[in-house]
Amino acid sequence: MEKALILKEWIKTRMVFLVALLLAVAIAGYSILMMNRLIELKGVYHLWLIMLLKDNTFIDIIKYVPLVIGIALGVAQMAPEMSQKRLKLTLHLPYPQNKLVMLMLLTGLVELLVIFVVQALMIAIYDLTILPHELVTRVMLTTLPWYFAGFTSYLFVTAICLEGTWWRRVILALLGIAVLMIYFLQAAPEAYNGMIIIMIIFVIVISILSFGSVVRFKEGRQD
Amino acid sequence: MKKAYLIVLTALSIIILSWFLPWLYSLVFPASGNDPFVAYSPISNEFIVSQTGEEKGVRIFGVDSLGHATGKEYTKEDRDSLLPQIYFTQLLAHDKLPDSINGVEISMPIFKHSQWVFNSTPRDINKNLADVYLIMESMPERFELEDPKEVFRMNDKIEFIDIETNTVNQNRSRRFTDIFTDRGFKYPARSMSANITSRKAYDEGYLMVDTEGDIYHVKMQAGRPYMVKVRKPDSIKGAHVFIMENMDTRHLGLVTDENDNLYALEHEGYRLVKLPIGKFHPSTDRLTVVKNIFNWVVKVNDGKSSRWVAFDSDSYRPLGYYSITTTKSAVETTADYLFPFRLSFTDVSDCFARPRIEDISWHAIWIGIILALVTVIIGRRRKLSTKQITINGIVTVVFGIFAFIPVICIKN
Repeated sequence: MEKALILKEWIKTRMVFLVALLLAVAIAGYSILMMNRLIELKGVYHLWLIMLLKDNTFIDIIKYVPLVIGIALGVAQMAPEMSQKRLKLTLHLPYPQNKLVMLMLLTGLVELLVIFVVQALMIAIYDLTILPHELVTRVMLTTLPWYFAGFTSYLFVTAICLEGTWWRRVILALLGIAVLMIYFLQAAPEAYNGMIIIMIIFVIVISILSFGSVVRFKEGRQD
Repeated sequence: MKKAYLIVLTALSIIILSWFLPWLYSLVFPASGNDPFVAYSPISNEFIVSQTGEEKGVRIFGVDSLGHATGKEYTKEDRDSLLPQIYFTQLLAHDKLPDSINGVEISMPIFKHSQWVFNSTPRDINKNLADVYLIMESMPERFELEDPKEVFRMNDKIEFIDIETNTVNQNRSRRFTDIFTDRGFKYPARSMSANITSRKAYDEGYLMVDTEGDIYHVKMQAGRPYMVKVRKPDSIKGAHVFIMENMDTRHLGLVTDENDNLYALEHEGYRLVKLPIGKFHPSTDRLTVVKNIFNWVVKVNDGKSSRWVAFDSDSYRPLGYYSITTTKSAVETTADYLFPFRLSFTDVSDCFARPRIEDISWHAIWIGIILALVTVIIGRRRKLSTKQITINGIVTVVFGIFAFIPVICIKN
């Protein structure tokens, strides 16, 4: 049953997954090319100076990419459930409801993880060829809240899509926007180091919102 | 699961509103307040305070050495004459610059050569550093300073990395590690300060404080290490260092100790001189030093008050003290009655993002109680259980308006 459910989720999301992976790789590649170009034009000294004196990580272009990918994957996975009334059918499967929702969310989260890891690895591997490990760690820690924003946007979108009433959708959307703003408040490198544990706990806790939306849907709370 | 969902949704709403509402309030009702510009006159031996008001423009008045207003009000022209070390271009333009003051010869080049300004903000201190540090060549072959070609890292030794090849320069690492060991440096460094730019007259490398509070001056001269341990009493343990590379080469930098005293480190003989400014904590206080041929005026702002201390440039003899306490504006006082606390994730005093609860106010309990009564009335109309009504009421009393909005909007 689990395999069949995962396959169902994969079929729904594979196209968006591949496009998102391509987008993530392309944007990581673009940021690498831009760094390379800067090195060709002004030398690697210039790059190091800017990184160390101006707190620049040269990967600002990827900042909102995880967030957009999270939204796209969430919509691709959950919107058909509601628009084509499939969720009612899914919930009638001989499988525990909570496990079912968890499996759906886990499929999406693993797909996001794969995309983010591929993108982060591309940047880290390139950076290691031109920078010491301290600076590479700094760059990767700076990207961490952006990737958490990706997971958070996905979980809010799934909760919104699975919710049956518009009023509650608006509340969830407003909360989602406010929460996502927090990930981008401080632009300084490694600013979110002290929040890594909080971000992990937060992502786990807000997954409850999707479970709640399904419970409400099953109770018949729909517009 | 439904109960967990409601708890998460309500808690999340309270968190977001306790961040968003005070932010929105401060955006709509900005609280203004600027510190005056304060300088010490070598002519009248008093502080000259230039206060920018909302209606009258700039008000300029005198303050005696004990910080009391002298009652004298000045025009801008008076101020120019009383503070020639600052407004010398104005005086020169009107041919009013004297040849000497208090027996000290003055001219525009003398003023320019002997003056400098130093600033330190908590934000400069409270940030994550990259753990690799640029170092300049202090004696470049072609005289002009060049951008750094190497960085160093410091663990249980010092390691130089060539920027071009991203590899360790073993020879230089060994030379520097040897001299660090020889001078008794204890890793890791508590504080390091350098001014990395080729747009300066000369390079003095780094001031460093080791883990035991000893202070060192380190620079790279023709690729070789130069390192001096500053002689000081054992009772002084360095905490923060700030290097200065001013035209006036008398001072190498400023140093604070573990007891938050501030010292000037003189270039000649590496003499540490305690400055009579009281306590200065670099991670919470802003420091501004304005030095000229006659005096230093040091301003320390801790967020709640500002104080200025003037002392003689040569002897460091205290000349005067002036302070003001920042009072809450009507807008801020009103906020105390509206919001029980304020949640923020960033602060002007650091470069970190983390949740912090500030401005806890018991005045907001009254609005919390009123709003709680409203939730009880609405709860009864919605035919909620007594337990639910009680919980809603208690949460609203504690979190005030932040809880009231979700309790009303999230119906079940």
